[in-house]
Amino acid sequence: MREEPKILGLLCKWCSYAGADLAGTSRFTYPPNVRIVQVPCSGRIDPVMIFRAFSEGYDGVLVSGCHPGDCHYGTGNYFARRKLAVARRLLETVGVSLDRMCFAWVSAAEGRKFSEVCAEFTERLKKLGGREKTMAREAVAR
Amino acid sequence: MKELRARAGEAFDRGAIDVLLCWRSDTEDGKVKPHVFKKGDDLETVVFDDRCVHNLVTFLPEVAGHNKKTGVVLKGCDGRALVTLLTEKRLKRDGLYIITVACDGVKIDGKTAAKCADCVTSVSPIADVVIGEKKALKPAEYKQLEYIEKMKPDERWQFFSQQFERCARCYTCRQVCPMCYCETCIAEQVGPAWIDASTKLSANTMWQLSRAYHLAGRCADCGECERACPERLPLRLLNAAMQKTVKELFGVVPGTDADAQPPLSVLAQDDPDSLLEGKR
Repeated sequence: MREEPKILGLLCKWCSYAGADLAGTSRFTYPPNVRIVQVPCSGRIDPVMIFRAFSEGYDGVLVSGCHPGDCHYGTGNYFARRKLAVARRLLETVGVSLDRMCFAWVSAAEGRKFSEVCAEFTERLKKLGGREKTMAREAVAR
Repeated sequence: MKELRARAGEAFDRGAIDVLLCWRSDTEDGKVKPHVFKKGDDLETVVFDDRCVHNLVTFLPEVAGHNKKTGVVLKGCDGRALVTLLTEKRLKRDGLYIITVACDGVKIDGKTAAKCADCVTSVSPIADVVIGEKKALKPAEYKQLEYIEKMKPDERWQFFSQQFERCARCYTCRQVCPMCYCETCIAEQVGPAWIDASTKLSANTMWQLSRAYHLAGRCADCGECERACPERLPLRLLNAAMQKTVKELFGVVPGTDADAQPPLSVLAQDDPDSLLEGKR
């Protein structure tokens, strides 16, 4: 049996979490593989959280916040963009392929976009599948 | 060396410095050691040669905290570390008297240190006194990364997991690093304890990734972590990956520009979204 990928979603409270909420109330369907954690702002996302997700056995991490210019706190997402860009390259260096992380700007009005992002990302991870040994799986096994 | 001693003595006499942080040569094992010289001390043991591998900037915040006017002797790589600490406002430029000595490379166990091949500044970028000739050096090419870049993701993880598995979590790399000055390190935080204290592979990976990430855009490549590591982990490899990333994405070489802001704490509204795809 093929194992379903486990995805951690880190969503900003003001835009993306509300976008996910809208996807629910609008009854757009998306794969149940995404476990959502609400954070106050995408600027709050410490890359250590992403490292932790991978070392705890998640197959992919979805990070989403307000569009640039729309941050509730003004500038959080600009800082997030720089931090996450660097963190992503670090994970790539140690062998977590770039495809295992997904960054998307989703506003509170974009319920449809949120469901599409989730579906696309889940599909991508299914293709990567168990053939590629992830850092996560191996680290947990040892 | 004569000039260094003369300049140091002159700075003491003139009252420009109260203490001098430098290396001293009169040790039992023939190695040089970092030492704080006070006024009236015998400056004949002040030394700078290719044995002076230690980064004195690691000790500088503490020494400068206890003294009004601190003199310090720096190589090129130490100078880069100091520049980063100054831009982060960890130290104040006033009250520091910086003597920099042109460095031709240092030796570890009789061999030229690996970091010296990638050195970008032979003298400190900021200084009050420059001793010796400044050399023009090529920008770093991060050649040691080619070995990793050729690998597929699986192979990379196989390589790094073998390395991380050896980590003893002694945190020597942190203690010796001039950039690691947090009062409570993330590795020791509890509630939430992000990094498990055990030496499991997953916990070691967490520690090594967090350490490398926290040095992104800050690491001056002084190579102290790798020199001090009792397990001989290739720590400079991860640091180099971060330096290359920061250079490619933000055009920053840490420690070379005294006016630059740390790249990860800059409000950059004009960054393209392609940053998140790993390119500029």
